Amino acid sequence: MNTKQHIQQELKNISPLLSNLQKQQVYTLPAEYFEVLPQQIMDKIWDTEKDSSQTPPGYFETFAGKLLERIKTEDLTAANDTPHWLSALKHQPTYLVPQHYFDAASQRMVTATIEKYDHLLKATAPATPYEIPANYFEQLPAQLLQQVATAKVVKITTAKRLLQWAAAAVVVGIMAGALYYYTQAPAAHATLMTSIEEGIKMNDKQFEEKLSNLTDEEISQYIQQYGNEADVQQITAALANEDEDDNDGDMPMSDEKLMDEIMNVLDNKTISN
Amino acid sequence: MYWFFCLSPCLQPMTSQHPDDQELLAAFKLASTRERAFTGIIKKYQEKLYWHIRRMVVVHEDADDVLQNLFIKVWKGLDNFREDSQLYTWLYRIATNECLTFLEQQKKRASISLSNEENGLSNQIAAQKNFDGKKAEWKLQLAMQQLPEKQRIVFNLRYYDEMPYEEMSRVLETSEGALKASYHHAVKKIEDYILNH
Repeated sequence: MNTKQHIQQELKNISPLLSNLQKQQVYTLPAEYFEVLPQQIMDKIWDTEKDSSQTPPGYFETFAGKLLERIKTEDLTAANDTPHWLSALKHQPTYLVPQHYFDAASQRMVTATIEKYDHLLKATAPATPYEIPANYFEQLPAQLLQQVATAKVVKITTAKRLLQWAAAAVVVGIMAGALYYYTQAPAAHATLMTSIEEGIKMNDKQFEEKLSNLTDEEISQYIQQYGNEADVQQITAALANEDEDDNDGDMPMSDEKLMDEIMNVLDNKTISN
Repeated sequence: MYWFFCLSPCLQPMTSQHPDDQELLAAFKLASTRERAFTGIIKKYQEKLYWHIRRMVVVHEDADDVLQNLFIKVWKGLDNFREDSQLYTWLYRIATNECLTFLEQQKKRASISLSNEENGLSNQIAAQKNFDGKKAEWKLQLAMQQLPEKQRIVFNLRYYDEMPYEEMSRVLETSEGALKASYHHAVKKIEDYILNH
């Protein structure tokens, strides 16, 4: 019994009904399908091979030249295809826009976008766990301006400050010298003690008068005699800081004044230009 | 190498007498005869594979797609084909896997489609040209669609292709005993369907 007969016998044993059924091919297919199929498959294979295969020899060496040639050809073709009167029209503006429209366009777009989505931004803003007084930020600028306007402006000239620092140095020097003589020269003790006691008894007004009576020569003499380099540097640095602070402190200007000054500077610059 | 000379353009086209697989595979290894050898492989197996696929996917266009993709994969993989197994077995294995993959994809497409009913294989059979639900041969086709896919493949290979269990075992990588049981169940289910419809 060959394979075919064996299979038929097996089927007969399982289902006589099915074994008696004639095997028919019920499905139809296009005419000559199997005749053209091999070539179709080979064409498809070559297509897929082309997709994944290497480029033809010299492809990249000649690519740039071929591309430029094609661009030129297409440009020429396009130019030839377009009538002269139509080409001329292309460069004439048909529609007008307001002057400087495009200069401010981006700003307008930003403003419009913010206005459009402002409610969304506010709605989606993350909640802060801290609380602030009602209308705090609305009132803050006015409060700050009020404080600045009422602030006392003390303007000290650099010379006066230098004098003040120098006078203080002289007084301290005198006190230190008195202490030295008190310990080293008991004979002079009584005189120095008198000077110190006088200094202690001075009120502010008297102290100011004493200071104003000191000459520049006396001050510089003291510094040369008793001051060391570190003291001088310290005094100079302190004066420099005071200058910077005063520059800020000297300008409790209102916005209008500040703007006036800026405008003056700009005007002067414009004129000088 | 007789067939190889027969494939030469100056000679007569190939007849129904196909060259054997060893000759085809040997010619495929040579660059000069590669394409011609592969055309020979297609011509030799296209009909058997087509009908194997068609009975599984029903619609001709689907069968054509699956078959063409199958041969493209064979072209790409034939260099790595180990000749210790038969080409015929290897091709059937690929065809079966391609069918199962296709049907799986079709199921996925149908699951997201609103027209599940129209996409069903039974409905596609009913839509075939010359369909007559009263005729036994069409009832057989409808009955086959009621089977689980792997059981349907076993039935196809045994009933239509008359494949021995030994060879089927290599194609489906399943034991002969399991295949015999599967075929038995398939035949019984089909008989029940025909008797009740």
